[in-house]
Formats: sequence, C-alpha cells, structure tokens
Amino acid sequence: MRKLLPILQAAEQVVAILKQHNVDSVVIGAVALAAHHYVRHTQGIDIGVSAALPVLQKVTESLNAAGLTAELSAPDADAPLGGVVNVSGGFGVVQIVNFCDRFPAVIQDAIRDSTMLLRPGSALKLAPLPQLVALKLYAGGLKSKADILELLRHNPGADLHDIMTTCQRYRLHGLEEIMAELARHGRNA
Amino acid sequence: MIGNKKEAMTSRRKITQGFKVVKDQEVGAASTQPGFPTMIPSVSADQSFARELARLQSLSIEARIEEALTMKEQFAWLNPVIGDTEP
Repeated sequence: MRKLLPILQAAEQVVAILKQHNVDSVVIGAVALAAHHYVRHTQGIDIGVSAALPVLQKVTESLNAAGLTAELSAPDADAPLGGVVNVSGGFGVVQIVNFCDRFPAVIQDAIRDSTMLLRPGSALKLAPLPQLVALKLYAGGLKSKADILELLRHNPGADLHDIMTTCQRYRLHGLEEIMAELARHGRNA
Repeated sequence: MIGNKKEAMTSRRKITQGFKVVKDQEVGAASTQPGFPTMIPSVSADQSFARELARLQSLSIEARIEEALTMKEQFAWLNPVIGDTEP
C-alpha cells in the first residue's frame, strides 16, 4: 500500500491520541469536501470533536509529549467554537476544532453517520454531506456559501431533501438561497 | 517602425475583441453581467465541469484528498514573476 502524505500520517497520530482520551473525531473542512468530490486547495486538516475543555488540555499535553507541537486556544464566552488545538510540524498544520457546548450535535451525528474513511483501516473518518453543509452554514460568510454551492454541484446524486431536513433540525438558516442558485444550475431539491 | 505600429494596433484589436474599451486607457474591460452574482449559464463551462466531475469520481477518496493537500505544489509554476524592467 502507498505511503500516506506526512500531514495525513500526522492526522492519524492526532486521532489516535484523541482516542486514548476517549474523544471520538471526524474530519471536517476542505479535506472532507475533497472526499466528497469537491477538490479545492487547502494546506491543513481540520478534525472536529466535542470534548470538555479540561480533556482538550490533557490531549494537548499528550500531543506535545508525543513529539508534536500542540497549542490550545481556549474559547471566549461568545465564541462559536469551544476551542482549537493547533498541531504543527514539518508536515503542516492539523487543527482540532472543538464544538462542545456550541454545536455538539453536528459532530456526534457526523461521527455516527460517517461511512467514509481515508482508506481501509484508517482511523480518519470523513464527515457526511449533511453535516458538512451544516458546518458551513454555521461558519457563515461568502466563502462558506460558495463551498456549499460547489459541494452540492459536485454531488448530483445527493439527497437534497435530507440535507435540508438536517439543517432545519439544527435550526440553521440560509440554505434556501443556495438551493435556488443550485436550481439555476439544473438541480432541484 | 510603421510595421511595429500596425502590429501593435492589430494586437490591441485582438485583445479588445469582445470587450468594452475603456476610454483613455490602454486596457480592455468587460461589463459586470446583469443579475450578478447569479451565474450565467454556459454550455462549454458545463461540459468542462462534467468532464472534471467524471475524473474526480474515478479517483479514490485518498487520491482526491491528496490532490487538495498538494494543490499548492502542483500549481507552483503559476507563481507570478516580477520583472525588473518595463516592457
């Protein structure tokens, strides 16, 4: 079997250390978009988790003890994320993005429903389409909007009704406008 | 000299073909499409997209992810080169 890219090897190591602390994880962001046929440039890997802050502090210590360079950025009270751990090295950057106390359901559902792995036997689970769309809606901004449109264009067989229902369940707004643009590309929900 | 001037005019005509020429400027410019940012349908762009989608669907998950993570190196040749003399 072909050797993994150094950054993917690092991500596997990060996920293994998270597992040692009983933290389940799922790959989100541009790497997950690429898994779902929308390939665009990215320099890092985002790993979504839902973990209490003290656990994330212990994970950071373990990552540093394992020879990686890890730094925890604690969240502000109003921050949309529950903290981020930057794991860096010669391979690039792997980010652990925490949704605990903010939007834990999206990570729990993504972990439960994920059917894609980086390769057979890998510990890297890829987030399913509905949760990827939900995470982009949650992040907001024009770039996220463009990402959703392109992601759906690159998945003509996707169940748009399921995606809409999932986002409604999370009480996320803004998908209707993107669906209307998608319809102009010849796809209807 | 005359040949050069004629050549420059022909070249400028080629550049500005299909574009609106901005007065008093040596550049061609296109107007913003009405209804922006709504995308204007294009058959050729759609065909190109369908080919690219078929290519991506034929790749493994890992290959698609590697493509995204190494795109910077793949297109490093697109980096701008700044010359030290004006043309």
